[in-house]
Amino acid sequence: MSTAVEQSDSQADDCTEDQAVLAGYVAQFPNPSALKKAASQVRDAGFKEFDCYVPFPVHGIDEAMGIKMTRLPYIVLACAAMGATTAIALQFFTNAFDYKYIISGKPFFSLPANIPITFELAVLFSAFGALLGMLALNNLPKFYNRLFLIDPFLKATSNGFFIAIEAKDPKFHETDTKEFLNSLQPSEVIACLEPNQNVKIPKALLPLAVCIMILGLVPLVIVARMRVTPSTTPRIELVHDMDYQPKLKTQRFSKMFADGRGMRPLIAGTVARGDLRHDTAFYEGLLPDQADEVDRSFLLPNAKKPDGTSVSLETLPWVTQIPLPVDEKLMARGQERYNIYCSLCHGLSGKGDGIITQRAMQLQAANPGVGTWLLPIALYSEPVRKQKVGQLFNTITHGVRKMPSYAAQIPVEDRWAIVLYLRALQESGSGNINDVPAEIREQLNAEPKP
Amino acid sequence: MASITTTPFDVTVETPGTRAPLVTGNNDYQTVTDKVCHLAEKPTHTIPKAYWVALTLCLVLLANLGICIGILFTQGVGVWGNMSPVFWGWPIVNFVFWVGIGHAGTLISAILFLFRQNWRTGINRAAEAMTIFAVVCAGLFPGIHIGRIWVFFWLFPLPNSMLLWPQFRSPLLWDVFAVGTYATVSILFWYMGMIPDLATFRDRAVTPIRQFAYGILSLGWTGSARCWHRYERAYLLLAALAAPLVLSVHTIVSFDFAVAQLPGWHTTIFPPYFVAGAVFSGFAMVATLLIPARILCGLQDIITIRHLESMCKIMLATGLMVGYAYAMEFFIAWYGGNPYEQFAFVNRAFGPYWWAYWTMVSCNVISPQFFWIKWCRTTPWFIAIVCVFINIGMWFERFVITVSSLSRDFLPSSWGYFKPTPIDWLMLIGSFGLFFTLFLLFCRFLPVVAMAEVKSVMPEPDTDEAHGE
Amino acid sequence: MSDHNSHELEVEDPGTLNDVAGSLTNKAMIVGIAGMLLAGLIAMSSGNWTQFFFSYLHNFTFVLSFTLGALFFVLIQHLTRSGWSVVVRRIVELMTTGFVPLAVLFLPILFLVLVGNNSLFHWNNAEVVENTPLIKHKAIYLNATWFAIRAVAYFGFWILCSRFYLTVSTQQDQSGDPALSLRMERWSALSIIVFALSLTFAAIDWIMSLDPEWFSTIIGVYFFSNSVVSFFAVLAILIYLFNSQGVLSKSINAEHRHDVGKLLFGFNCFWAYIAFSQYLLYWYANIPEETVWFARRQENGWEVVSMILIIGHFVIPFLGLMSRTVKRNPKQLVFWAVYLLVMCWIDLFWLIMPEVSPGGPAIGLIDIGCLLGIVGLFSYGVLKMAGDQNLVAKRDPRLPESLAFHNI
Repeated sequence: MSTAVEQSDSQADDCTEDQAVLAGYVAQFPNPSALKKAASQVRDAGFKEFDCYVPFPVHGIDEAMGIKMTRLPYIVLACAAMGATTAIALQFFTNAFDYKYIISGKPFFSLPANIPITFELAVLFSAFGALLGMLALNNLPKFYNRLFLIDPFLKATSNGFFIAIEAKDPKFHETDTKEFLNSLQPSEVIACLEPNQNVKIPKALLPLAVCIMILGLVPLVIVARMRVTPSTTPRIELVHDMDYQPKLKTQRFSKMFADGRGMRPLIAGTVARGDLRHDTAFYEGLLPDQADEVDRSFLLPNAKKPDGTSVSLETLPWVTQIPLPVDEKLMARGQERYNIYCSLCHGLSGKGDGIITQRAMQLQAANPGVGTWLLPIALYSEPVRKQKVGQLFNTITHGVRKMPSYAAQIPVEDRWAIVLYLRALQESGSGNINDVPAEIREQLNAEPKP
Repeated sequence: MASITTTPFDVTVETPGTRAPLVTGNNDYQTVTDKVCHLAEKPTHTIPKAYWVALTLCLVLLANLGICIGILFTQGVGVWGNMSPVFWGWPIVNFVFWVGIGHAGTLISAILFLFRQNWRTGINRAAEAMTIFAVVCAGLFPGIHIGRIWVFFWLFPLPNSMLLWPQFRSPLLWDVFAVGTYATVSILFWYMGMIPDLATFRDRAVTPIRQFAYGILSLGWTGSARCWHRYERAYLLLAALAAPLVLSVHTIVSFDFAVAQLPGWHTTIFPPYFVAGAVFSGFAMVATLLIPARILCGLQDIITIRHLESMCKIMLATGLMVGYAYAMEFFIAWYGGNPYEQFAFVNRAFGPYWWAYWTMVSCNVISPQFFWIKWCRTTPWFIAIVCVFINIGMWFERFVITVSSLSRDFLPSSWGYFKPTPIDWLMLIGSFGLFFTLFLLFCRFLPVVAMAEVKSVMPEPDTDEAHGE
Repeated sequence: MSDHNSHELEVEDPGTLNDVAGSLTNKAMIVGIAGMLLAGLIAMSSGNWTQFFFSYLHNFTFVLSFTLGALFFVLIQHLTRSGWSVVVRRIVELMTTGFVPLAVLFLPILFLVLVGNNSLFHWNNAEVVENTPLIKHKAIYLNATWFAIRAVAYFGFWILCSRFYLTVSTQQDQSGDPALSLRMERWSALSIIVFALSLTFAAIDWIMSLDPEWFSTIIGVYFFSNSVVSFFAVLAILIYLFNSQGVLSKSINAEHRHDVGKLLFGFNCFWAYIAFSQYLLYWYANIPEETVWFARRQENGWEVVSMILIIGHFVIPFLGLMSRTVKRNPKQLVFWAVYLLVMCWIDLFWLIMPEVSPGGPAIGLIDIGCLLGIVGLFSYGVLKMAGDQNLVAKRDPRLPESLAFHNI
């Protein structure tokens, strides 16, 4: 053991070229168990400014040295909370406040969809908290350490186990501490001498650092300025083909065609699939043999002849038969469609007392002169009863007076089904008690009127 | 434990009650350090030829990737085979494939750490490095598929002159955050794990350049026990954070598919199923890399057959989980009674992409079954072959999910058949070039094994004090 | 690893289960029968037998869930050659004897299905099947015979598997033969596969098919996560109860509690992950045939139960169980274990009961009676079957490792 100490003394002599100051003692131990035992003895001896240096975390050394549990977990927890809050705030601000935009019917601020990013940012922040917090608590990075000056100490990162007691510990004594360390059966004890050089920072360094920092800001300032400055020079085209793709755009010029039009007109006589509507009886309610003579603009609501007189719709060549097989199924369909589309204004019985009409009339009564709602004519009234089925069909297709077209909502077959149901409504609406079968008539009389 | 010091003949045989050693041979702390530093400290002219051959080959592939990206940027994404209706073709397949590969690293370093699987110390560093390189490859594909690469920053929530913000209810944006967080946390975790080992490199360095570089990178680490205490706590916390993170990343990748209403994608098992598949493929890739690397770096004593065997067992387990998910998808597709869903699954197995589906099933479900046999688990060359098949199978899994569902839309009039172009092929191969190049550079310049962690699970050398045990 | 224990650790002899809890056997039986009678009488007087059946099923799955969790624990410990858990493993093995009383308790449900009663399972009615195309489609899977065959198969496997592990483990108490550990390890791989499949299909049969039109591929994993959480909660409670009786109070120490606490915490997060995955995917795609199941749980007061699950099952215990000190402190750990066990019960309540009372959640005497009845009869069965078994695997080769175990 004594030879080891002598060796280290001679090493220490090498360091004392300038007047060196004793910074502490370093003792090397052969294995982790010996180190742990020694560490607990150092702790029991009352030293505070001491540390162990080991190539890997030795199990149980924390207790041996009396290291208290670090407060790192709290730093990480705080970072996690910060990350989650940031994420929620970011998502709320961007998608529910500053730039509201509906996506697939989701609410602007939809928590389930916000959870993934909230989780990610919480983890991201706390991971930074864990690493940077660990480094900060450990006073790292610290590129200069006087222990690096001791040659054997370099083994602390491969297979050496060391205890270092610092000179600044109040219990430190130049000879006693060395003896104490020797009593712990180390393989050697080394004095750590720090060269007492008065190294001064060159005076030019500070202005230089300031200048570099200011220069470093220049690009940022340029970018910031460019963002708010209008420019007349064209954009830099990184990839020309992508900015000017050879493609046809609607309502634009094109060199590709002789007439210079990008949009191409339909070829004469073409009919899109499913658009062939030569069966005028079915599609328009007009008799096929006379349909060609009808000016189709007359079919629209409030149509005028060229001479300015109103068109008399009744005179047009309407079909008188529903051009579909009439059966109970069609009737049921008609009733269903009527109740969905027509009854809101015309009422379930066709009387013209649908809920929209009622509401509109109430409003108009309350605010005279404001509304323009017309009471729909009762569908079983004489003028409507007289109309041919073709004309009824046309009314649904194109609308009449205030009534809009329902062609977009109701397919052709369903319009005919509604027409059929209208006939039934007209039948019931204009009937009297004698039309009811005798046995039901009594039943009706017996029931109190609502 | 007393029994640890006795070395059984075969480390893969563990008598209950004794734990087989994790480091074989007569190694102590010093020889472990020497072995790990071996390749990194060799002078350039003594590096084995195999290394140079491998590096050259990878650089050629990397150059090929660079050229392909150049073509892509100047010509546009039309150089890929993406078409209507398969707008998501190989780029997303490659993206999901590489992200999945990355999962093994974090799993080994975080989840196996939490479960106290000490064998992970031999392989975790290389696996984490692999994670980062895989995430680099993964990030490449969504990065370049946007077409106008120079406006890639539109993906991030930055204030811009159009007063627009990204759409946070979209799973694609979740992806940006998930993969970004994953890459960052993996790098932090990897770097933090390396600090003590970089300090070892620093203290062993002989040239000034190495001293300076490793000196900066190791941040002045001394091995102080007080530092170790906080370091271990930080490591534990990072592991606890990384464990759910690794689950979340592939979960969110699975959301890209599963929140859609497309048959074959919209199924609730997707999140755990993707995670299991990711771990499965990741382990296969770790094994594929480590089987040659342990020979190249002379680490057979540290990355032992037992480590490989444990990895095989995990592959078997995750392979079975993937098989479970395939079965559940099929069963519920039938049970749910949705004709579109049923069609999607029948179409996968018997439609135009039947070959991809059956490649996937045979590689992913059948090939790991070899690992029931001990010989298969302990024979490195055989493991390597199975692992290559698993990787092929997992690539095809993503291909099947993406392409078979997209190519058969609800409307038969928009059906189509996806064909990759040569650029697609070259980019996939090129991404392997990027991956392997980074890995080879890692082997040369950084500590391939977490020395400090391996030492902490090694038995203590026989000493006066320890003789009593 | 543990390089500092120089002295050999000895496990204290805890005696048999009867020595500790034998006096409870008859009390458990009385509580069980009284509970069942209470629930039955109320059901009879109110005529609300459907409510009774559902409560019965709910509490049956509750007890089943932690028993399944226990079997999973035994299997996974062997599969991973786990060392830390040996000192608690026997307690868990004894819990798995509960599959026999559970099989008996399942008989009423099976009987109900076989006689063609459809108050529990809508699909068990020829008329409903005929008129509902979706259910008709599934009739080859969802029918009484096949349901019964499956149930017998599940219980057959669970009982066989749990008996195997208990028998071999107690054999080792006599011989201390390490080969027995290897034998259990070898079978665990295959068993865990069958276990996964049986649990999945049991969850589909007994929980998901209550609404025969709804489906979710993750339901098996969901039920699994619930099972494991409730199991670790029960384990923590049992450890506390045994320790407070002075049983194994030295051998099972803060380190083991810490691990049980960590697993409880971890699997509770896993539960949240699975539940969120299922919810988000259905919420986002918003397809009526899928969201209807969640819609039922978000109206008429059920939304309160849903919120209780989100906050009470995940957020609060997440914050509460995070700390290391909490997990190591016996009283605090047992508080959270009881709390989470209640949450697991509510989770199953939320899974099952909206199918019978979509009009709103109500916990009545029937539920209390069924809970007491099933838990009581289950405990009686376990105490009766496992009463003469030792409480620790005293000659397991890995026991020293478990006793010396230290967390990081």
